[in-house]
Amino acid sequence: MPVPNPERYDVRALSCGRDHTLVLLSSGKAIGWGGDGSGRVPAPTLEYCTTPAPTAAVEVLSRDPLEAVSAGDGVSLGVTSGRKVTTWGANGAGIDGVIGAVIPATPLAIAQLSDIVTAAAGEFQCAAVDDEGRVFTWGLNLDGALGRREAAFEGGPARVADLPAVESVAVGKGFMLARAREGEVYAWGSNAAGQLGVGHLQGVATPARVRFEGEIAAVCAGASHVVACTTAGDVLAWGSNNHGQLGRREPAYSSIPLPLVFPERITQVAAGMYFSLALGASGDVYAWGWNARGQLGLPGGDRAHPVRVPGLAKVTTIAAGQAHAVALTAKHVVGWGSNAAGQIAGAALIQAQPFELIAANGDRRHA
Amino acid sequence: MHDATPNAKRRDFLRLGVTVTAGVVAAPLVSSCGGGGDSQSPYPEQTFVQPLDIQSSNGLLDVTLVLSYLDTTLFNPTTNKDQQVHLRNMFGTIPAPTLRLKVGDTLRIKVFNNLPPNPPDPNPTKHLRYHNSTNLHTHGLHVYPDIYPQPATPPYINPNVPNLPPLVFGDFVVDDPEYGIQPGQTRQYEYRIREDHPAGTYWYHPHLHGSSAMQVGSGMAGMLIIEGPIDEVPEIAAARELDFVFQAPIYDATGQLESFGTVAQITNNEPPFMINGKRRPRILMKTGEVQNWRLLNAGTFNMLNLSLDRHTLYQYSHDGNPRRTFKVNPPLPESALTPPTTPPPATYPEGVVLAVGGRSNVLVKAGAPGTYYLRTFPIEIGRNPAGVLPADIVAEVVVVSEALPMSLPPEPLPVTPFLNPITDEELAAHGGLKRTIVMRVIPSTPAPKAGELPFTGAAATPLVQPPPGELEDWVYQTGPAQTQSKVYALGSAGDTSSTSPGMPTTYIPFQSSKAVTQMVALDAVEEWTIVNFNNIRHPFHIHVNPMYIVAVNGKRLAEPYWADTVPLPYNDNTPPPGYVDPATVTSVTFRMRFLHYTGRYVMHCHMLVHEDMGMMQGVTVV
Repeated sequence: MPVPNPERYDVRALSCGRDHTLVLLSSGKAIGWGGDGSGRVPAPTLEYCTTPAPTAAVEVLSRDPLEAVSAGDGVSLGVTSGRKVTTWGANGAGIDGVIGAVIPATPLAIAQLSDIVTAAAGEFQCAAVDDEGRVFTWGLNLDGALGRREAAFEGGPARVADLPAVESVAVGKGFMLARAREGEVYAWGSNAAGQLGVGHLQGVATPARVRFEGEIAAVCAGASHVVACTTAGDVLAWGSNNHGQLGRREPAYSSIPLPLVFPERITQVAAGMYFSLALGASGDVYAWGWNARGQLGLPGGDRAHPVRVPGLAKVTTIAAGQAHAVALTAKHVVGWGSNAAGQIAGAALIQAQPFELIAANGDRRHA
Repeated sequence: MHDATPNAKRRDFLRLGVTVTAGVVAAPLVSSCGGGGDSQSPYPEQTFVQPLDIQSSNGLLDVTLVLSYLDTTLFNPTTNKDQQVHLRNMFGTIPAPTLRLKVGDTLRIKVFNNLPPNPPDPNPTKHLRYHNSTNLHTHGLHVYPDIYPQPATPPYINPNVPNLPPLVFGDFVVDDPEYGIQPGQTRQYEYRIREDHPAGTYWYHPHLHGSSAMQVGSGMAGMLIIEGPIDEVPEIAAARELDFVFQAPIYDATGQLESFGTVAQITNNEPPFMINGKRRPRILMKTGEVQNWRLLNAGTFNMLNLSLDRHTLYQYSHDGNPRRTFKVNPPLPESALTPPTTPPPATYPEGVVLAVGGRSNVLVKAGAPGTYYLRTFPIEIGRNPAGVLPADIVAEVVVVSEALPMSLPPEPLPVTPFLNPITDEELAAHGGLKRTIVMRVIPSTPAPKAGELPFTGAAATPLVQPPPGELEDWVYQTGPAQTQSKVYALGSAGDTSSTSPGMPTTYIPFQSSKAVTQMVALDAVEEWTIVNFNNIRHPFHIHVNPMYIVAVNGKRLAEPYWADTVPLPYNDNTPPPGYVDPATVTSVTFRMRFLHYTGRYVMHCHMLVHEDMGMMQGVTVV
């Protein structure tokens, strides 16, 4: 359902998935662009073969106001005002542990979960955190990605043991990270590029603590690398480095956190597939890593060191998808990178500089 | 030695539907026993015939292939009688000619689709309506997959769009079914074979989503051979080469194949295999002779499990990928031909197993004079006993008393560095990305539980109503791999249907602008796990890059191997009460280097009816 086009949206949060984009509005509504999980519903007689991806935003048809959204690989999760997790899109992680269920565009609540404060969608795995800081995971229990060794292959939502109270979770391709309230980080799942940060390349089926100096304020999972920022504004990264996504040319991967250097304090980070973003206290955005689809917001090839994204200022929020990214400025939501599924609305197929999605006001709570 | 030039044969090829612009045509095969069959010969007639064999010359093989209906006679193994058939055909023969190149060569194929216009088709699944549209795939080749950037190599002209520069296609199959190569149209393909390309046996066949099963099931397939260092090993060069194209042409009682339902219903019931269009051909060998057999399963569904009576098959190549050492396949015990059904055996012995689409090269050294059968042994394509394919004799080998002492080559055999093992270190240094792909069929019957399957509400019925005789199964893949499920995901799924907004009335073919595509970075090395939810051995095939198979059901293999088509283990795990899905699944895990080529291509189930119904997904390397 196309969204009526008000003059300016009050934006609360952004999230990017594999090939879709979600914008959570302060009203509790969410709008989206792009592929599965965007909330898009096709017209009854649409000719799919020949019709290009629509460029208008669509509204997620949530029955309840949303407090948080997470865009994954073809699927989205929402946290409602009633603290339930809802999901829409092509849910490879299943609903209530049954992945035979393919869900409607209308978000469907996951019955077993309640009192949830945040959730993260991956591809075949999802995670949520409740108000006591407990982590619940569900989906395909491959490579230990659910953090629960004993879970069935199609594991329904259940608690991950051996974790302290957790603030947030991040889901990569077959691995997860949990940031504890005290600032430490735990990781589990696939580890072929050292993305768990635990000093080796073996997969880990239960939470393992990542060792580093400082207290982590935010941690983001890319496809096979991780970027984190500390409460002091420093940045750490680990995992794959085949395109410079760790902010350096060497080594080709790192199984322990490595520091990055910025000209200012960093307040947020984001990670896509082989690329990374950081938001400085000044409101400038830095990008580095893979740039085959313009996902750094820059023309040209990969960058092995952080580069300021030109044309962006006073940014208050960033998010990265597989090969695209979005940012909230004082006046707009802008996006750049791959637009193969229409995830950046009417932008070019390869959009190598920020493109305006909507006019917006940054949410006061986040500004 | 070749006894024909392109010019001398051009008239014949025009009749056959193939024109050779560059390349030569090999002499027809005679057996080493002097041909046999004539009244002077002491030996029985060799009835094994090689496909027409067209070879590159001066680094180029350039052919035009014409698609049209073929009226011919096929032996019908079901009725044991010759039958007149009227089938879609590539090039005038079943199988199509063998195309033979050397590493470093270029192959150009111009396809002219001379089939009649697509007739009206009531099939509600729109992408299944274009039986007479087509395209071409070179199965297993590591070549450029997309449309070449313009300007293309002159002097090609795109007759379909005269105002645009000429288009030249690589191994491009990401066609909209409504388009592809439509009747009356021509498309130029060009495949540049790298010097380090694995030398081995490949094949080519139409690959238009929605019509691939009908066209390949009509016999539209041919062998494609890349020769390289392995073929210069003296013992292999000295061995007579026989090329086996196993096919199981599908047609109705009138000798025609005009409905997707006819191929869709052959599941578990594909006709017996023919070799090069012949049922149970006879091969003559001299005692002590070594022959070089190239084996290709060009069927649409079933597997082959080959063994030769009292002879060992020395396999030196799998899916075109040479092996450093032989896989030695001793003859399987005769007792395995008739396995008990109650209780069925725990395992079925395996000889040379060819998944549908799979190939193997084997050397065989003829033993004592006598008559031996090349057989396919019982093999499970699903849980036993219902899923066991029966034994069959596919060829007869007569070893005559005349001696021809020959040797097998010493090991190790030459293998291109392109096939070096992929280590943990290489994986980690090239992104270390792990992906999961799920392959699953969900049957529309019995009626699903509410909320468990996509379509349960009454109003959804028009969307899934097949015409009589069509589409017994719903085929889709979950998560990123689904095709029809895109419909579900986009608004038609759930336990009730929606009228506002309304549901789509057509499926979304996999070429949809919204279809899921795996985006891969050029030069990445990844590890993928292909998960099977079904009690059938879906053969997973991915274009362009070979798979280095490292694990089955999560267990690491002691000897990883290279393949391009891998049958997944069937999944007969018991579903929990009330569910159709098993609690555990089966899987194959492989590593892959995404080298040399960017562009769009696909991965899919090579049970071609599954592919046509949607068990396919895109890959884009950028």
